[in-house]
Amino acid sequence: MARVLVVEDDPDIRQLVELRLRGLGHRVVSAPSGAEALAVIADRGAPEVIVLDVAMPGMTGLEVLRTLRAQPEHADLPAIFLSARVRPEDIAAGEALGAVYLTKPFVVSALAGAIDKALQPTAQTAGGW
Amino acid sequence: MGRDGEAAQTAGPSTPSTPSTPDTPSTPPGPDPRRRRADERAAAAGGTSVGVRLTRALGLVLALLLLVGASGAGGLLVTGSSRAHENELRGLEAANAALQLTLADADAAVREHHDTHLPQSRRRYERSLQALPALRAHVQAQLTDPLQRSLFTEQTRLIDTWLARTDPDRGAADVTGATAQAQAFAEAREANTRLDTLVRAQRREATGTETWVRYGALTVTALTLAAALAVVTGTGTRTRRALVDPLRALVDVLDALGRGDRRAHADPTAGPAEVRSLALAVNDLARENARLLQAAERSARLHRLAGDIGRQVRDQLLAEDALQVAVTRLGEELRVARVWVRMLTDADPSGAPTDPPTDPPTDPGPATDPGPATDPGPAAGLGPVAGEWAAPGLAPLHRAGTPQDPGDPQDPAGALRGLDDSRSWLHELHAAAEVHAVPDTRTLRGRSPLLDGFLRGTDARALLLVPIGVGEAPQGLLTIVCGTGPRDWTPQEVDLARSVAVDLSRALVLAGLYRAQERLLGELRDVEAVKSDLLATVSHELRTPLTSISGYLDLLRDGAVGEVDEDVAAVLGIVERNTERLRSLIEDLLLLSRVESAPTTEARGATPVTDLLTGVLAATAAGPTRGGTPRCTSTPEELAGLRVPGETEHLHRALLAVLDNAVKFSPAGSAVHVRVERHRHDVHVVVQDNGMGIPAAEVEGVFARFARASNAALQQVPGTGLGLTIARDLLRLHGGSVHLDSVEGQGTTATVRLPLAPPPAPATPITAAAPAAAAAVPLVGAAPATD
Repeated sequence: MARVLVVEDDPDIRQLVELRLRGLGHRVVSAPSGAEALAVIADRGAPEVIVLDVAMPGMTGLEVLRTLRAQPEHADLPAIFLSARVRPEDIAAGEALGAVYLTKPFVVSALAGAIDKALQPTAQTAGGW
Repeated sequence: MGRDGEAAQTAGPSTPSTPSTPDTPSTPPGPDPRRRRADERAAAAGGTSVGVRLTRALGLVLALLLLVGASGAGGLLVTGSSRAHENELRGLEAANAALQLTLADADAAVREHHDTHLPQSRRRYERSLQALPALRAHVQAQLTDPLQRSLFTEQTRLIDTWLARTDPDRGAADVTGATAQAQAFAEAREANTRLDTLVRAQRREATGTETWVRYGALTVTALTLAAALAVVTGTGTRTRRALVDPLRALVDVLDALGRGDRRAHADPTAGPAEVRSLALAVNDLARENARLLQAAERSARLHRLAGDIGRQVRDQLLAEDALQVAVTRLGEELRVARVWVRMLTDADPSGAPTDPPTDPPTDPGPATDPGPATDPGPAAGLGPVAGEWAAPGLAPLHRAGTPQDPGDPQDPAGALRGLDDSRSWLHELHAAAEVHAVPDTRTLRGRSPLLDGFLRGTDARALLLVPIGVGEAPQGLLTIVCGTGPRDWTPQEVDLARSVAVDLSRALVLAGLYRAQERLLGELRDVEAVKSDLLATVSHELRTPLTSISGYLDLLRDGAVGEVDEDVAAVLGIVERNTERLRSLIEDLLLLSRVESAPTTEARGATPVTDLLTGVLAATAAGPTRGGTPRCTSTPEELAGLRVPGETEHLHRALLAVLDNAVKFSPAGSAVHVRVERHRHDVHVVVQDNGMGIPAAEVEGVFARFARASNAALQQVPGTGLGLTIARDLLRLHGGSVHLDSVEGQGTTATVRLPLAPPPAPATPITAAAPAAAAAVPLVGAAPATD
């Protein structure tokens, strides 16, 4: 089971994702904004997977991931976008950062599958969290 | 026109041609034709005239013939006179002979009488004596020269002596008497003989003279005739030689000219004067011919040019470009100093760049309403220069798109007619489809301060003013300024300017329309962008709560929150179904808006029909709706190599919408047949179900947005009413179509037509992908849903 950081500004959805991921057996930490997410990572180290909303006040999910990718230690951090933005250009922008792009409303199985897939290649390189 | 008899010519469509003056640029380089002609004349002056030569020869022949006549006449004269003389001598000779005979007869008769004394002797003697005086007189009458006379006088004296010594009655014994008589007779007879000898000699001499004269005359005649013949022959030969060769050369030149050789040229220094004159005339003709040909060629060239420039002007979409092309090409082709265009201030503003394109369209800049309103000069009505060209080395006089500087030369326009207003003048000119040509601006000097200022400011030596406009109203004025002159504007040049002005007018109108269209298109794009953004935002905003609703619904259904009894589960099912419907609606709306705003793009790539069908069948099987079961009756072999152009995702979505409908509206467990038909240029995917069908009156209507067949709505089959609309629009984007055949209660056959992509290149992965796809996905799909 993995440590997952959920970044989502909508509290209902944030709670829903937390519930679902915990139900799947993952340890979940969440942040209501991009800035807080970066603070959490700086404070407590990198998660194994980061799940990001795209459209958020302040930093967007894309900006958060771009910031992380700029840091060598997070360059390969598995990331999943979970967004209500479904235009092809939005999806392409997310995938360009090496993330899986899931659209809202989401199916739990799809989210679970994406996290499992993201964990597979880096399962052994877990940090202390 | 021309009511005040001014020097300016107002050229109508059929103004007769005036030969171009030597200083117009159209005159080809080379020496002045007139001087060349004078040189030729000087060179041709040396020839001898055939006429003079022939006249001389004729005179000579006539003289010779006169000589022949004279010699003949002289000969005849001389011969006649010598023959008369000879006849005279012959008569004298005969008379002298008769005298001697009579004398001898008398002497014989007297001597016989002496012997015989016969009376008849005596009578004979006396008869002879009686005849003697007449005979002597006869001889004497025919004497012609002194020698004859002296001989005759001697003879007469001796005859008288003989008569004196003769006595018929003398006796025979008188011997002395007889002797004297005989002696006297002998002497008389000798004298007679002497005369006879003289006359004979003279007669012979006369005969000789006549012969000599005759031969002489003949000789002279023959020689003269020979000379005349020689003169005629010689002159003829020389004339022939002098005429034939140069004439033949001239014929060659004329032939060459006839074949169109413009350099053919006769030699005016060869041959006699007449041929030289003829050569000069031929050269004049050739020059005139060349001039006419050149004029015709120039005319044809200008005609072609008018078409060429017109096309180029009409090709411009922007008024500024059309104006610039028109003034530049006209200036270059007419080889003038300046060309510019001014629009009437109330002309269609879309055509006049008084509204600079960089300005926002809503900005009522002061540039749109320039000077003339406040400063109604003689050129009132004309706006600032909209486009100008100046010959290389000359600075433009105006700045396009700016109000006219008071220092700029005003267009003479109305002032040419002494009018204060250019507008009415322009209206008049435009209505008559005429052009105002001024071959020599010196005629305009001193008429008005405006004209003088214009001439000073532009150095114009000749002018051509052409109205611009379509329909009845003029739009503006095209001004062509020639810096050298006077210049006679040829009808071809006038026609060229007029033709370009007409094309420019049309181009300006078109440019106005184009601009309006561009503006409209821009607004439409803005609207489209706003709509797209709005839809994206709305979609995003709708999805966020929907995510919570469906997510927490799932949590409830999964029992993660607590036990759910049957009644609550049923209610949750209704909420779940409607949540799903809402989600579909949002997705379809977004997709539809994207499809409708997409331009018909070039097909990118090509998708194998096998892959498309496999994907669609799999998606249908995995989908939430339950109904019929799709069965593909086409074998993978039949589909091999079939490809359709376009985006796989869009095609997939369109086919899925059609198949979803068939499955959805079919009874559970019934078969939905899917088959692929290959046609010449396209491929048909036929989806046939045995479902509820569509009422006949509603078949076409189901393609409309949110339209649902009445029976489907009644039976509460879920759906947004957007599926077929999306399918139709997507297929249209790919050059395809969808067609429905339906019988209510029996089923529907949907035919999706898509164009066939060209056969794949040999290296395409079709052969590798097809077996894998066929193996991986059952074409008769009934895979269980994994939600």
